[in-house]
Amino acid sequence: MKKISLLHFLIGASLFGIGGGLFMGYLSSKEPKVQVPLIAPTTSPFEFFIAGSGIVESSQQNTTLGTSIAGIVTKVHVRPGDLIKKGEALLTIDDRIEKAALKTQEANLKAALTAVREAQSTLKSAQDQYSLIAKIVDKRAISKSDFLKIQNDVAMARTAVDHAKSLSDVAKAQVQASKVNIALCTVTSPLDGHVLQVNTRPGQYASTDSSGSPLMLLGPRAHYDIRIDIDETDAWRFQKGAEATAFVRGNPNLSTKLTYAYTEPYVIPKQNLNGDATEIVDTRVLQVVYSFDPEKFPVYVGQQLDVYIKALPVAPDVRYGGPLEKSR
Amino acid sequence: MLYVGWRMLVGNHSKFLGIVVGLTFAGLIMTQQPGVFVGLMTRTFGFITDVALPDIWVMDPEVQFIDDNKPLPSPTLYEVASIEGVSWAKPLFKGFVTARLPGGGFQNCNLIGVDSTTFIGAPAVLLQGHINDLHQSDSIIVNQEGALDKLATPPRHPGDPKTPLQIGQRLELNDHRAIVVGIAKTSRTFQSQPIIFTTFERAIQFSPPQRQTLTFILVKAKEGENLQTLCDRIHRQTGLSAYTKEQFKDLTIKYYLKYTGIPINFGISVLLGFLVGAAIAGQTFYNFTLENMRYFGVLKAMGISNKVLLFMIVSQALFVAFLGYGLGLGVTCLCALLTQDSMLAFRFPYSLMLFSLGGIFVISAFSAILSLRQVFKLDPAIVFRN
Amino acid sequence: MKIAVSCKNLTKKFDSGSNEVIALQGINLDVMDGELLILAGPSGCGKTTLISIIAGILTQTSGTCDVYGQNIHDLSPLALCTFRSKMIGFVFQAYNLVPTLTSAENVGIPLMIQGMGHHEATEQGREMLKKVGLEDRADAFSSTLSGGQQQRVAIARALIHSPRLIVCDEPTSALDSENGLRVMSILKDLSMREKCALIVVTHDARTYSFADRIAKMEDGRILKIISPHEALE
Repeated sequence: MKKISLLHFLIGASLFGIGGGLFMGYLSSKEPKVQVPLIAPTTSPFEFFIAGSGIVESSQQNTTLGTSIAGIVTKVHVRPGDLIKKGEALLTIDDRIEKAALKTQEANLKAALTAVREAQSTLKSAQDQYSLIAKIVDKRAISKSDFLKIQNDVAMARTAVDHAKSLSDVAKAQVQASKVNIALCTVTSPLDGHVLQVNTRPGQYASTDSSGSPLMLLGPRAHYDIRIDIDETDAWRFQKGAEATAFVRGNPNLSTKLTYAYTEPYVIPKQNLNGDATEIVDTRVLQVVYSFDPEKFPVYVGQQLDVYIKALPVAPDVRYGGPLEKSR
Repeated sequence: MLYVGWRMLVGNHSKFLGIVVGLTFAGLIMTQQPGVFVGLMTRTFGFITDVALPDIWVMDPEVQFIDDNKPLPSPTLYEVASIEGVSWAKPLFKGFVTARLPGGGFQNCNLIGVDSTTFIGAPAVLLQGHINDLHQSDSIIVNQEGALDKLATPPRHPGDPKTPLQIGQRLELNDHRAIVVGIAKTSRTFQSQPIIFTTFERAIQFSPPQRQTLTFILVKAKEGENLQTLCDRIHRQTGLSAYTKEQFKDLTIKYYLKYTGIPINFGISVLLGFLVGAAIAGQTFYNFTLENMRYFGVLKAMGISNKVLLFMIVSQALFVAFLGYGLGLGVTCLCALLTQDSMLAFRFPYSLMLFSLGGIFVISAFSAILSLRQVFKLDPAIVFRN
Repeated sequence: MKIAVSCKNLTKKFDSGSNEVIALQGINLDVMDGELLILAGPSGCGKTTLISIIAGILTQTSGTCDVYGQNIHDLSPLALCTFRSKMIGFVFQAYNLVPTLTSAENVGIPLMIQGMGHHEATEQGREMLKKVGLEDRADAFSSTLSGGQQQRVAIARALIHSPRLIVCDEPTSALDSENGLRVMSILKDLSMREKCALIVVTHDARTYSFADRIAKMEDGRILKIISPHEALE
């Protein structure tokens, strides 16, 4: 029976080996674990479309706040995100110089008014003297030259009053100007909207020069615009007024339909690149602007969204030769 | 009669074992060596296997294999994403970066930058940490092999084990600070450099400045879309190369087959094994037939037909082939089991099993044909000659 | 009595390179049903060639050989195989038992050749071994048997499928006289019982007494056919 048992052993071992081989085959053919994306990528709702990323901006474009008075900022009344009404104070610039000037002007005005009153009393005394003389019947009681002198005194006093009055008018105007200056030290909102950015702090110097960063960025809140770059190679496929949908990055369930606003007809070098200083512009883009209601869509100005715009299909044999097969 | 044939074969212990051992050896060489070969070749596209989610890889037409980095201009991403039939398209950065280790050493690493929203292209299995941690600033994920060996801190005293790279440790990538937030399990790659995963934007910061940074575009086709048609369409509309996952793997393998000596060397080894196995098995089986020639002659004289003889010998050959194949495969399995976690590349797909089965059967058929020729030629009249 | 084998003018030439060897020249021989014919003669006289042709494993150069009325050399190779497997039993000088099979299995081989399953054939082989007195060794491997036992197994094998003609080549020459005689008597008994023709090639004069007739051969010819009495004298 020894032979048989050896044979059984060999057959058993072979079967075991083949089993092992099958198992190894199974192990090797097992597909690696497929990554489940943390956040599902957004997909286009249209069959033919242009995909792009868009940047949210306010519809009237954002306002960069400036000041007409240069000076040190003493108080900033708002914070980014604050809702503001037209005329609401946003920031105050140091107004002590203006206030001091006002005081001087007011003193000047007071002096001018005193001068007017002085001139008026001089005129009155001159007139009194003249009427006294004029009542004298006998013309010989007074010499001709005295009479003329008195007459002239009256005229001069009248001119002096006029002069004093105009000086007081100047003083009044100066007071008024100082008051305006003081008012201008408080910068107010030119629009209803909200504060997007605040770039100034109390103690900083606010310049009337607009070339630097603006003091504040204000955005009207009526609705938001979204500016989408379309690659020049795809620009011909875009039709004005085409349907478009925007998706929030990080939550593909958040999307909104966009309304066409306008197209900037000038194709510009692509700027919305990755922000690396060494990046060289190598393509130009058409910028189209859509708008949407921000109340229903929790995004912020400046945020990037994935945008799909319904577009013309690429006609067969348009690019790289040969007609394209229909996919389905 | 098959029973008689079987008993004739099995009856002679040592001869039988000789045949079985010969075929076992052939079976071993024909499974183990190609297994290592397939394993090595699989490593060449290990990264493509790991990035399993997208259907199509889009790249510069000049790209020849996975480690061939020829980045595209960044707007190409949206151009590809706008193509009919594309469900989504995501960027993938793949490049090299020199890491300065905590211990002060330098190590060249593979740097992978994945889309920062969806993390498509990131490893599927994290041993430590969470993929979400990539949102932290300066965060990177390192693959396990790299963390255990090449990125590990060298021991203070020579001979001590290295200290593996751990979560929270800091690396310097091209003079940028990078914090390890996860350890990933990835397929081994051919070059076996450590792999560092991070977001696309950060990868660009880490890597040396370059004009273009979009190495690959990963595309998912819409459901029901024919992948080949979509590849053609992407190619025609953008002029870029678009390959399905399988095509890209083939491309990579072909590159390695063409430009490295691996396949030739392994091919020779497999061929040699095949020949040696064939020689041993054929020789012993043929000898066995020759020794039994007398009995075959008796059987022929007794009126056995050639057909039955054929069945007998073929079944004998099949039986030893089965044993040799099974045992060879068993030894291969043992080898694979013992070297499971080592650096040895070994993969054994079903097709390879069929291949080696075919090889064993060719050997057996060859020896059976040799034997049959002798038996058919045999004149039964020899039975009366002593 | 029926004629079992009828050879007419049988000639066999072997081509061995340039020279032609004439093994048989004009053999005329009839063997009857139930007869035991001994072919005797010196080595190289053509005895083995003759029985090979009669058994259908060699083809003659000219002449005819009928076995039970069938000209066997007209048959197709396959039909000849079938014919051999049904009609003819073989006993060899060297027994030619398959060493890795048991006695019973060896005996059953002719039945297996005819297509019987090996269990049944082995059972029948066991039965047949009783007739040669070896039932106790039925499960022994044939290589463990003595020469006489092996030859008895071989006889059982030659008879199991009830052939009409049994061809024996020197069945006793490897055995001592006691075993040789025993083998011959078993052969004779069984062939008588089965009423089949038996052609025995032998040198062994001790076996002549079992024969019905003895054909003396020399140089490819049958010199004379004599009775056992004549031969012994």
